[in-house]
Amino acid sequence: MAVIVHEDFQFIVQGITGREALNFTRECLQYGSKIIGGVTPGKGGREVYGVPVYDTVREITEKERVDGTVITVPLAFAPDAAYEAIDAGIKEIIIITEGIPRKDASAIVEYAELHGARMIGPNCLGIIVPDVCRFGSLGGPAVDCRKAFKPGVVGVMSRSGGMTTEICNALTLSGLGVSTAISIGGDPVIGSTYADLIPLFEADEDTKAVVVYSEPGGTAEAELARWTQENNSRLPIVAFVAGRFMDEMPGMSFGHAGTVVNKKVDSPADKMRRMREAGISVAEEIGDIPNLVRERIGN
Amino acid sequence: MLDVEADLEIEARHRQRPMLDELGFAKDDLRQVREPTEFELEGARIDAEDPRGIISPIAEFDGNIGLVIGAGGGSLTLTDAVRKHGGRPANYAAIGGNPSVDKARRLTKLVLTKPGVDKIAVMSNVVSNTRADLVARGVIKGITELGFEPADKILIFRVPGAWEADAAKILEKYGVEYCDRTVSISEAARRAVEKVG
Repeated sequence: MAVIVHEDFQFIVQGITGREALNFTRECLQYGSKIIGGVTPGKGGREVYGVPVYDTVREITEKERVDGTVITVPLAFAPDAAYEAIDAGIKEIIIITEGIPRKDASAIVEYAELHGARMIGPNCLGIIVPDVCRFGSLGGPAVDCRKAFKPGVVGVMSRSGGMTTEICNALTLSGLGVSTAISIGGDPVIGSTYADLIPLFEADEDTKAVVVYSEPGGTAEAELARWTQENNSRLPIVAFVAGRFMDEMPGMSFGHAGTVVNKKVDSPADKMRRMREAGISVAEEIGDIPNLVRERIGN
Repeated sequence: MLDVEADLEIEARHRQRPMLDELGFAKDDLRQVREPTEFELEGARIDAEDPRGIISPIAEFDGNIGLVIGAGGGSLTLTDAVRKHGGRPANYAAIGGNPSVDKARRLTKLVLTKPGVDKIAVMSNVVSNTRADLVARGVIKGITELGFEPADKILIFRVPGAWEADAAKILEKYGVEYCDRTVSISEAARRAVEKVG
């Protein structure tokens, strides 16, 4: 079992002829993912590494089962690409595109919810179930991906794409390995937060613990803490909050668009306190994560 | 007294241009809570002059350890890690999206010529897009252009991931202390702080 994707998961890439998309399409195929089509309006009929390119999403969904889509189109077209995928009935949507204004992101999230679709991102890298499927651009070239992500027992959710790989690499080196890793996105408005996704890990028998990487800004950590308190979860959670130095610099913005401390709930100190109160182990240092996971799962 | 607090979202600024013009906000005015320093302005210039990859946000702190670090989340984590081990960062940077050798070179020179900075730590999370060898070449070029030996100026080099074997070859040639992905971010930061004394 795994979270969201599986061995037969087949997806498409919207914006497949873009530079970044060409790279990760090749990487995904080399990793063994099933990409059954790509979309770039006006470029229908071409091929990208053997993957047929179409003008519209519907041309593919009318012919074949499409489980998911990775959207990496220029900023101005990102909302329309998402609406097109949702209208065509695709249920798992990853938006890699960065810099979508909050208002647009909120509208896409709402539209996805109304149509029973799940959205990961924007400003994320996607999902990896090690050795099974890579859905997005997480982890880079397939050879690097295999180095950093080995199958195992820990689920990972992270607001930073790069730190998803960093943490999975540490879990892999420690022998714990990774069940499913999800880069959830660094924007202030994202489709799926920790609290939205944690029930999926709870239901996944491969996952014995979950690691969460977080940053200053937003209420996602408070919501995860509340979920943990309200549900009798079997899963130990280990969290790490980066950017603690920002507590001394209110109003300054670093890193991702969502990374800013304006209110108390935004601050790393407040996030750490809430999560600890909910029974989540909060790592003082990034390097402590594998040992904390081991302690919590009694291994 | 505070009458109004408004949150201006950078991503949506182009939609509010007439209003922002009326309020006197220039196109490149990011309105952080304090005026940018000369160091920060120069960092932004370096970033803007070459579209290949990014090195920003660049921020100036008052410490003595120069940080040539990446990426978004990695830089946040690394800055904390340096402080956790008693180090005082001189700056913030966030290398990402595969910057050119030239951009890494200019960032290195900017950080290393900052008053009070004698040595730099070059660190990142495991990279998948940014090429470790290009970072290594840029950093070494920057240091040698200033007339220094890379081995004297680099506290530690920890940029594992894409093209790491090529980076290792370059670093070995110059005798620079580097570590691979088996050394955690925490441990790399600890070593850097220890070396600066």
